[in-house]
Amino acid sequence: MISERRLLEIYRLHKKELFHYIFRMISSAETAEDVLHDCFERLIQYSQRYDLEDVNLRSFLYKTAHNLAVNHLQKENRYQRVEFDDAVAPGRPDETAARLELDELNREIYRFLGQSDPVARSIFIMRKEQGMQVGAIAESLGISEKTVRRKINGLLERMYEQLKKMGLLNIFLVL
Amino acid sequence: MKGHLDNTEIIGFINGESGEKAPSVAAHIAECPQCRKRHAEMLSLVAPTTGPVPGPRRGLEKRILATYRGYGTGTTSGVAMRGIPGWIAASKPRAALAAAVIVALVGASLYFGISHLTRREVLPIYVYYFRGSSSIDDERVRYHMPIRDRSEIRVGRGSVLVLACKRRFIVKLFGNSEMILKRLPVSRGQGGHQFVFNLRKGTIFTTYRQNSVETKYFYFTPNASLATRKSSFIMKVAGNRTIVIPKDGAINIRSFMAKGIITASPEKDYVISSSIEINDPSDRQETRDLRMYLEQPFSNEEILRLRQILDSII
Repeated sequence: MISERRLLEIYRLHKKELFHYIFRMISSAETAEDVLHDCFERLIQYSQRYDLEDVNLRSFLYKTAHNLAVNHLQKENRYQRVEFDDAVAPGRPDETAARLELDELNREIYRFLGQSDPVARSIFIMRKEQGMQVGAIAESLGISEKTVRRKINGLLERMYEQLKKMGLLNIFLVL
Repeated sequence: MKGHLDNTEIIGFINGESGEKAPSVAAHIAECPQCRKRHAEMLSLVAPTTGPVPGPRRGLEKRILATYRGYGTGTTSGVAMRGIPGWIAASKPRAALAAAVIVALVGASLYFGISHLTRREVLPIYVYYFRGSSSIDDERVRYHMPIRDRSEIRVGRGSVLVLACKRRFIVKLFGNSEMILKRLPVSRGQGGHQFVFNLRKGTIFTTYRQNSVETKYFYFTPNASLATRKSSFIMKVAGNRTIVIPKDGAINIRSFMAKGIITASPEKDYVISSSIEINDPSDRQETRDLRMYLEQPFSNEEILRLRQILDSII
């Protein structure tokens, strides 16, 4: 099993970027922490059975984070709201994501992403926020590079058309 | 090159997939204002989001460590899976075979039992103080131990256990208490956690952060259920009765036998059995004792230990 020291090293090295990625996927800081925790718990479990020496840890963590985030998103769609009674006033939704200083364009980008399939969303966030190239994304998600290209190009094209219609794209003139 | 680039060509260029065409695409973008504009617009979609992004809180590292220590050092593969001693196999082959089957069955039970235990998710709740003897899932309480979904918590006679979820709530269990702690899935668009506290017997005091996100908390006892968002209260289960005394905030109480729901407020004491009795404070000895705890829920020693978590709640 992985040593405590090594686990902490890996955690401290990757926590920010992984958290950033998970947060962008599910838009809740508290849930992103839970997912990040579960991600590292999976790493611990994996290390109990297999040697980590030959494992690309970053890809492993991204793949695990992606799967956990997707599961969470699917659960959100499946579970009914648990109402114990109607006498207590309904609470406010989590406004953590809304409190962030996203400019209007990025808010719309993420709103559009929220309607996309989780794999495409994941690919786009890895590209946009982590600056990952096609090869690294493909390895992280365990899919082909061709699929990565197809998904991101399709998503970008649809997003562009949609946001253009809404008049949200800034005009940049590169001289 | 033809008149204008189409979107696919511009996207391909942005993603570094133009190959041999890249120089001519770049030259066209430099010369054509319309394509340059579309290129800039598409580039803005994949530019990293600026603005602050929250990072994981420092407590998460501790939580991961607690989980790691809960796994121990590879004991799940188990002593029980080792082979039987060779001298048994040599002297009594049938007995050896029977012993091997038993060892395999015990090992499998242990493995699946432990796997089931480890599959339950770890909750963001920690032991902040304990005195005397208490257990969580039959494991003696210690600091930094993982507390999992559906944990069974037992507090021995004369003992105390304080659990907390940072910036959300504190729960103090008094001696001779038993409780199961569960987490509910939260609904779409709602962050945070929803917890269920199933108090089988004993007494708990609990307080919640007054300006937190409005998460709902649920309580069950053998004869009642409660829901609250932001409140402090003490609750005791004694036989077939549940006594609830709010300190502040509102609590919705439902008796399993009586009909209707009432909203409990701090001015009264509530005793739930087959009905819900509402009494003036200090009417009975047992509620008088509970009110004393409510006035001062933590001893000086506990306050010293809990200072930071209390500051984050209140």
